[in-house]
Amino acid sequence: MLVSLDWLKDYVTLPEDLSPEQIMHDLTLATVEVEGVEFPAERLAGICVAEVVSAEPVPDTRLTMTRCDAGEHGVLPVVCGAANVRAGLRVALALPGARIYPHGASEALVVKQAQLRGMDSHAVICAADEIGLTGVFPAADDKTIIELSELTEVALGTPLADAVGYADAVFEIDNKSLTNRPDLWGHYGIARELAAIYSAPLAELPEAPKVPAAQRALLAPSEPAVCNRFTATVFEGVSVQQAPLAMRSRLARVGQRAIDLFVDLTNYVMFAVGQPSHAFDADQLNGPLRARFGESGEQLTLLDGVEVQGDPAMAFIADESTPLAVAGVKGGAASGVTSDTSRIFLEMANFDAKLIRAASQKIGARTEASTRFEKALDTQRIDQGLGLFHALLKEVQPAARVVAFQDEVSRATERAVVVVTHDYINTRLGVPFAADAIQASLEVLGFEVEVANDEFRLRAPTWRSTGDVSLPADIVEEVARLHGYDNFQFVPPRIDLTHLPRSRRMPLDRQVRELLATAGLQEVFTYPWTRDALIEAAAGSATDFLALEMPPAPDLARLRPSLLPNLLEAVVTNQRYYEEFGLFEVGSVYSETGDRTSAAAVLAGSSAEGLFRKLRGVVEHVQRRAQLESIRLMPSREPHDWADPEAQLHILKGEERVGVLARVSNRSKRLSGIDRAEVIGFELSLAPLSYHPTRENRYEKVPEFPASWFDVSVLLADDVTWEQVLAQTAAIDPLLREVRWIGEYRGKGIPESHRSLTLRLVVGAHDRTLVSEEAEAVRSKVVSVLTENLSAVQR
Amino acid sequence: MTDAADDLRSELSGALEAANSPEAVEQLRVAYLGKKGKITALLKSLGQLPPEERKAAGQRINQLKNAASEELEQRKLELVDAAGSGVVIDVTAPGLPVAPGGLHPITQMMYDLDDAFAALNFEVYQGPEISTEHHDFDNMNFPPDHPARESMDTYWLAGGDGNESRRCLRPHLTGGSVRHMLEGSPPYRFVYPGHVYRNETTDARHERAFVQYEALIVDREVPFTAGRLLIDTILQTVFGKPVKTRMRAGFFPFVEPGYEIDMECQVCAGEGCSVCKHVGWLEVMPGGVPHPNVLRCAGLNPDEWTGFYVNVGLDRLVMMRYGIDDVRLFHSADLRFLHQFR
Repeated sequence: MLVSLDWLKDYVTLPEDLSPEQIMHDLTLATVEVEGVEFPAERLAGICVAEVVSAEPVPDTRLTMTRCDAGEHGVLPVVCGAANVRAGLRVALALPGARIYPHGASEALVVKQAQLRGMDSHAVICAADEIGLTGVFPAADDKTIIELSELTEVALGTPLADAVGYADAVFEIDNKSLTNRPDLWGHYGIARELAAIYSAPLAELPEAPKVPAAQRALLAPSEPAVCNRFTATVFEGVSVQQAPLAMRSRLARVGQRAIDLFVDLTNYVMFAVGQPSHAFDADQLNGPLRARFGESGEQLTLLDGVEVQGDPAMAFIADESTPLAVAGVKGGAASGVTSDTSRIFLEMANFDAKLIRAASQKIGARTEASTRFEKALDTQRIDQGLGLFHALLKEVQPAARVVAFQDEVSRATERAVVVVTHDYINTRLGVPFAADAIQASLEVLGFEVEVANDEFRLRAPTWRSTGDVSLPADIVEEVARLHGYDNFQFVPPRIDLTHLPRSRRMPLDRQVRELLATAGLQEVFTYPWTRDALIEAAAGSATDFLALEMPPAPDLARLRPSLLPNLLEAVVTNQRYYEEFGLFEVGSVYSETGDRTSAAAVLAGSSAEGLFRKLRGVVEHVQRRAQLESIRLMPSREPHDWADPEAQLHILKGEERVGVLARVSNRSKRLSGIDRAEVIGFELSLAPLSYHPTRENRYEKVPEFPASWFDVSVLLADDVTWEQVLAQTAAIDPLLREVRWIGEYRGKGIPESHRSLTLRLVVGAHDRTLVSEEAEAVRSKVVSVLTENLSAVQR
Repeated sequence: MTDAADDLRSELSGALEAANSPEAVEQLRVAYLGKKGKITALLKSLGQLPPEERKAAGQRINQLKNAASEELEQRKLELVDAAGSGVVIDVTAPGLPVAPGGLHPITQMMYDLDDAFAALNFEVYQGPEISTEHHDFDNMNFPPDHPARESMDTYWLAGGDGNESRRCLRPHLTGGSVRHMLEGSPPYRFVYPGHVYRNETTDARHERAFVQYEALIVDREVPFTAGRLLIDTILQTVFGKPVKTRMRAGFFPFVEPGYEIDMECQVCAGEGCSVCKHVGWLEVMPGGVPHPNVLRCAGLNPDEWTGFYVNVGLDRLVMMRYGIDDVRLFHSADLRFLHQFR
């Protein structure tokens, strides 16, 4: 919303030395966010009021050679191409150095003394669009120069900005910060805030004259759910012309183009007090008007030519035969004011806020009127609007007279009553305020204040009573913001710690994230939704999806049942740039029962075997470092969404499967678009896991006598697993302390489907140092067990 | 005799100074202390002295011998230490990566904040991402016809039988804070980090999925300026130094009074620049006192309990911290981006 300082000054007398920047700052801190301030005069620099003293057509051209009297700037030769240039005309003359925008160009042209066809031209006579004044001086086309016929009293040479009232500062206010303050949607409301902020006097608005009731009904009973108050005023003896320059200028400065006197008057009243209204041609109406719901089958053509279908979700203003306007949003074409209009029917009403918003959404028209009505206006504002309308019309068209008036009120806005104690305010603010200071600041804002027994009994003004103010907390806000939030000293919070729980240790998801990151994987964020194709690729077994009503894209409706599909997509993203990499995500996965936290990782590279062992090492690292309650890894060939059953481990807690660690199957890779790379992944549900309440392992005595070790290599078939080797050697001799994996080898010298496995045997006794024969005995025991039970061949 | 010993001593010292390798020192050792060495010869000549002089001269020469031996060893070690190791290392070659993994930059900031608030004895709460209209709108004092309830803003879930409260991906965290309060007993002070989702058109400044950080104090007396503790903790953690802030009037349905909290623009230090649209301040978070209706929904009597709340978008703070210009990078899973923050 744009707000003119010049306009505000009609209503509030501000301190002399106050700069627009200071007002912007103070209003931002206390009331609404002012996003910027502009000075419209800057755009008109170097342009003055001049008079064409002579105008001679240039033969064989459309040009006119003129001499223009620019007062103190002298009489200048100017060549002009406009058809309407003529001697005696007052014009807007751009002097050398001024910036203009010929024919709406976006780049400014700097005016210079020039020669045109050999003729001197020392200035430019401006059209409205060249200097951004089409809002003030509507023109038939861009070749028509501005005729300043209203400025005959102004001294020649006067800066145009001063002559048309552009010596102003215009504030741009963020509309979002006004949503809850319907009272601020007009200059008078902002002026009231400034009056409170600066303790400055606020002017009273003119009252509407008392008008005898209409002879004949102007209004029929309206639908109470649509309309809270409906006033109709009929004026006779009007002529529809252009609004006076001062009014057009103000409207243009706040972004509203001039149209005709009556549209401009209703707009002016709306920008002044926030009350929209609509002027009908009284002679186009058939019987009394009322506000009612639309009916299907009805049609209405709006002022902008758009056709609207009747609908019970919107409200119409209608006469006895037809709808005339979408109530509170936009007028219809047929009943609007034209140049032939001589009688005006002014509708000034108050509509239900929700209905207006629904209607404006329905027809896709968010107008200045609907924007205000949907914030919930008070019904009393109509009195301000009428008073101002009467006063303005009387000034512009003294001959116009009111012939009829009718006022139907079904629900007048009631003043909100709030009772709040002095102590409540001071406790919440943390600073003691005197009762009379509180009373004074609230009274400036229009509150009626009664103080008794340390209690304030407040009646809010109607313009703050449509939802904005209703609670003691609202009063605290009013006192605080007028005092200035920045003027309060910091008060440290004092908090009773007795009940405050304290998280016992780091949440599991954080611990897991940090362990995975230190294990060399990079955390990524992916979206909660998953492409259908990826679900097919990597989560085909899920059935109870949660889906979005309005997804970001048609194939992104389903929320991820697993983290793997999106991680595979992330592999595709990165495979172009990296040969080997690891990614993980700890986040929510979704099913009909809600969301739960899952951790998943993928390693991509070239060697499936190497990557698999690396990722298994990561899972073991997480389990060990996070001190998770015992989870086990168990080989399984059970088919699982993305897993290659030939290289798969189930992660078990007890007998419950809480995760899978596996090579990503060829099918899943193909469907998700992964070329070349081997990918190993795991997914682990965190919800069933918890920390050990305490560490579970027991201290073992450190051996007093040294252990010795030796390595043994055996040839084994590929279907013999490491776990089998461990199981076979586990309890064959009390002297064998440990069997360790050293390495495996496939290739030259090793038969197909076999590997050479190198084990390290660690032997020792608790009561003596072993002699070599004892150690050798253990070694041969191991070899013979492996030979007999696992068909190993010693190498 | 004594003169001869002194001469030998200074002779050896001079020779040692000239020696420039351990080998040269060894040769000197042989020349002075070897079987045919000069000091050894002097020792052997003791027998030729009169018996009454022998004892004193013997002591003198032994001292010389010990001193020479020590000096030789010392010089040798000096020269060994000074010699190069012969090890060839290109010290300009790049360091080996410790581990090429890392936390997402937003996670890193979240944990920095968790730790800062933990030091103030705040709890960390984590709530569910699937929420309901009841939790995230009704409890939040959003009027029944508030635009945020419509599908253009919130990701509603399909289905549902129409009897239960509509389900959604949580559009904000504050509903979860109320959920948390319903489970416990006041006073509270906790933080609540989490992912939230809004139905938005995405561009460099707008995302559908982002991370918020909420901090809340609820107690019997919390003057609104006490809320600065929350604001300052967040901003000092993020920027590593005190940051100037201001509070001004702002409206949000779930707080009353509500504030917009601005921080001094870190690019121009408040002077005004294009980043802050020449006002010197940047809007950084909303805050305020939980609305009485919200406190009621949390099972608290608003006449008895009050508080302060702030909620900040971490995406934007991380962007400010590193100068990132496109919010969509956070969900890109692009390692070329993410690896810059490990």
